[in-house]
Amino acid sequence: MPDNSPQISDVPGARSRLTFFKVMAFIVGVGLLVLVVEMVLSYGFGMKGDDNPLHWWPQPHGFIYMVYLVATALLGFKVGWSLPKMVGVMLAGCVPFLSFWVERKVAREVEAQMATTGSVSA
Amino acid sequence: MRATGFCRAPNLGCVLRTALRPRWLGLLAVALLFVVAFVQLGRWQLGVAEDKALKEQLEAAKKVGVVELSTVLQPHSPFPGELSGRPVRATGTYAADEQVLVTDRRLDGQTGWWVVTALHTDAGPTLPVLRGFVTSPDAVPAPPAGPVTVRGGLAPAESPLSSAGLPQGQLRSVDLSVLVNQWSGDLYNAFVFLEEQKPASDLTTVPTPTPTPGINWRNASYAAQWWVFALFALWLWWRMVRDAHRQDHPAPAAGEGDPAPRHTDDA
Repeated sequence: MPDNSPQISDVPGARSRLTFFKVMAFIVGVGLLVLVVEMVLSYGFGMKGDDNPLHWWPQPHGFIYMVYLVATALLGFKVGWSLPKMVGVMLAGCVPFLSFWVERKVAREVEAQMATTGSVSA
Repeated sequence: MRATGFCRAPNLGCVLRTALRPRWLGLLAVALLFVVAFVQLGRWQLGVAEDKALKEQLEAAKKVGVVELSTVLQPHSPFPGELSGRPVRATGTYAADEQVLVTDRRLDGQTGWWVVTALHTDAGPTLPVLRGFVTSPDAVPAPPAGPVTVRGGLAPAESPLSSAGLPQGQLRSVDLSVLVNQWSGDLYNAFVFLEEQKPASDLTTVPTPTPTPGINWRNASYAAQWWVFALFALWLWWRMVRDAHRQDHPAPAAGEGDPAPRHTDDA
């Protein structure tokens, strides 16, 4: 069995994990934009504490991001990502808008991988 | 976890053998660096959580403003916890002969005595006032003779400590159960850390202790998040070792009818 080939042995499992990842990437992407608005209000306009209508958001966003990390790891292990790639996708969840682009790129890649499974691995 | 391949030893030990390879040990070192960093970040956030809670408490205390002591507390009645540190005002006359020194107190790195004097308030009851701090029990300035107005932070009585072996007029704690028998009048179940007095006091005042800081839950949960990230780094490492181990020791195809499960689910 070739070691580095990104062949997927368990396509249904990979598919459900990809779905989980896509959902989490979208939520984190949107949440990150909300976080940016919160930070602009807080640091740009000096709206601290209760003055800031979004002051409650950073805390749940932290937990959502954690779920995103888990979703990324689960998918990454399933489809055989290298550590740098996994960490890269995780960090992409910290950059506004980048997470949307990475999510689409990752989804296309994994879907292509799943399509070639069964034939000779790429 | 299932037993895989030709590694017949208990599975965990078997995976650990993979973990001991230089590559995985190196990665473990990196993971541990992240763990240390994340744990420190968590501790920093916990510190922020306590500082913020303290600041909020102080601001809340400032907002309530100074109240007349007789409007919030009655003599001989239990001390309500929420009055701790509450800024209060009282007027009256000091009784120069009703005064104790409390031993073994520290202020700004010096050891000395607290000077606690009875103030017979105009409202009637007697209020113990912590007038200040002295470094010698023989050099205690007398309280002003005439009417005074005091302002300061309210505090509950301290726990009793035996004053055996101490000179006359000294105590080991602000023990109101002792003072109530020595001083005249109805005693408040509290004392005041003097902050301001008219006429002015020439004693070094002792700052009102801030109530034990609570915690700001938002920052506390940030701290928890950092610690979860630390665990996550370790978990990532473990999963990678396990996957590498499974690649090196593929399960026999006959095993469970599942052809070469290179990646198996957790549960």
